[in-house]
Amino acid sequence: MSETTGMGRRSFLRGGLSVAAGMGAFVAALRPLADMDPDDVPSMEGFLQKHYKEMNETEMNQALARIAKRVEDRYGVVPNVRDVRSQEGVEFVYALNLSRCIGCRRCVHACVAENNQSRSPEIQYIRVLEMPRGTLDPEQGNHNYDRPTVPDEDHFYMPIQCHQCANPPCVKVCPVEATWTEPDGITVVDYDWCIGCRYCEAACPYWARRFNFAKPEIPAEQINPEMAYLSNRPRSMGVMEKCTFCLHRTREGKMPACLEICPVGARKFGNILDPESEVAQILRTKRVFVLKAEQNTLPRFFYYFDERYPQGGREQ
Amino acid sequence: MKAVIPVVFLLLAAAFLLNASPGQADLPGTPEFDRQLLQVGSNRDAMSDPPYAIQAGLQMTCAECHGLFDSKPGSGRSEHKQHGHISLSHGMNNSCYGCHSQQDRNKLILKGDEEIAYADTPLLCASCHGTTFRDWERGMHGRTNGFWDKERGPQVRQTCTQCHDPHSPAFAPLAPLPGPNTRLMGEPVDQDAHHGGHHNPLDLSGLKHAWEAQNHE
Repeated sequence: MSETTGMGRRSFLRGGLSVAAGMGAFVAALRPLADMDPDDVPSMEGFLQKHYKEMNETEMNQALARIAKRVEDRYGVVPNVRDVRSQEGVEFVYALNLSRCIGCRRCVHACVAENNQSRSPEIQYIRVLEMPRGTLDPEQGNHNYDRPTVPDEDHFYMPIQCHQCANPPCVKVCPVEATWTEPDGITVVDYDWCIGCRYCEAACPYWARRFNFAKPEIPAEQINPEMAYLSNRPRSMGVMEKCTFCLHRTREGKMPACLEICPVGARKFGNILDPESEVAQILRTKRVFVLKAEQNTLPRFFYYFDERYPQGGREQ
Repeated sequence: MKAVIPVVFLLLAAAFLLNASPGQADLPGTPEFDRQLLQVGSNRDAMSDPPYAIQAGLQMTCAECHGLFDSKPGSGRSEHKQHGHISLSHGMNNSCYGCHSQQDRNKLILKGDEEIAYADTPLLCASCHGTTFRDWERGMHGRTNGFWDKERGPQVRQTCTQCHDPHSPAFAPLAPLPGPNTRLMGEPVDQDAHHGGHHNPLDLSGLKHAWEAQNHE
């Protein structure tokens, strides 16, 4: 009997089991799609969107309209999304006075509020290290300090954020050119082009890049509606983000949010190509250093000191 | 034996289906804090020029009050008098008339002889803190708010007394805002238990503990 059909009970069961297993595995692999938020599904136009540098004006305006609609759908806020371009004759430089910083972390949270970072999981661009006096080794720093008041007598404070390098390792390693340096010195990410490989995060010696491991969560009432394509528009899960010197503010002549909030005036920002700018004068006259100079990253973020307090403590 | 492979696949499929969607894990977010602290403004109000106080419902300038009740030179302040709330902690500069004019109460006194207006306070500070004043003039000391590009908008410079209390100029300590709270960083280490408060930000040993804590709750 079995020879006539060519299919025995045993081989039928084995074949059936294989088919069932294959189908089961296929369904299981697709299972996460069932939980996908419908507004996470890209439209055909969004899917076919070109790289930032390749979009013409019409395409950019369509992309900005898509972003605005998504923000409105998700947060109920009508945003002002723009594509703010860099200006001729401007190169941005940041200078931070280590003699003045008191480690109050106002900058960290002003940055989060300005740039629409995820609150849960928490993403912050600025990390303030509490450093023992007598060393500049960031490995000696502690960012989890929790004191009733700062500053502590025995420590100084060193905030670290993106150094906007002139020789950026993060840009070199990107396999899809989703990150690049703009003419005004700001390294940016096209969040719609990033594939989330995190090579740039590994390459950065300043630990300045952040990855959206989960869907970003921002309370709708805390959304900053002033947005730019290359800076603070809301990001998606699976893409990198980083400090952009608040380019939606600074390319319109304003100061970055971290500087505005600093209660002690430790943060200085401006155009290094203007010899009268605050940063140009700091670089000319102050004792300035860059972090990890041996990495040859050529940062546009400088630390400096005041000449004062020979005791290394408070003024007598 | 060959049936083992499909069975393994089936078990895997079942496992994926049962626990397919971790969804949005309950990840640690930022603790709540007073969002008013993120309002940009000067740290304190500078004195008006001429300065005044409101006494018994009347707005009186310094000179008006001192014209009625003059204080004798060298009598100093006491807690029971008008300026008792001022605590003077300005290093060697520990007398009222080091900065305030004894003749014209609406004026300050520069180097003991030249009267200047309250609006020119930075000049008075400069008579001792010359290097700091030089830095401030160039924008290297103190707060600069508004626009870095003065052609596109106003720039606001804070003067000395908008940050420093002239009677006690050291910057008052502040309570810090919440520290980082990402899962990758694990639990904050006890600063003092670790030698010298050392914490390696690249040490991911906290990851394992955080992961275990997450999955055993």
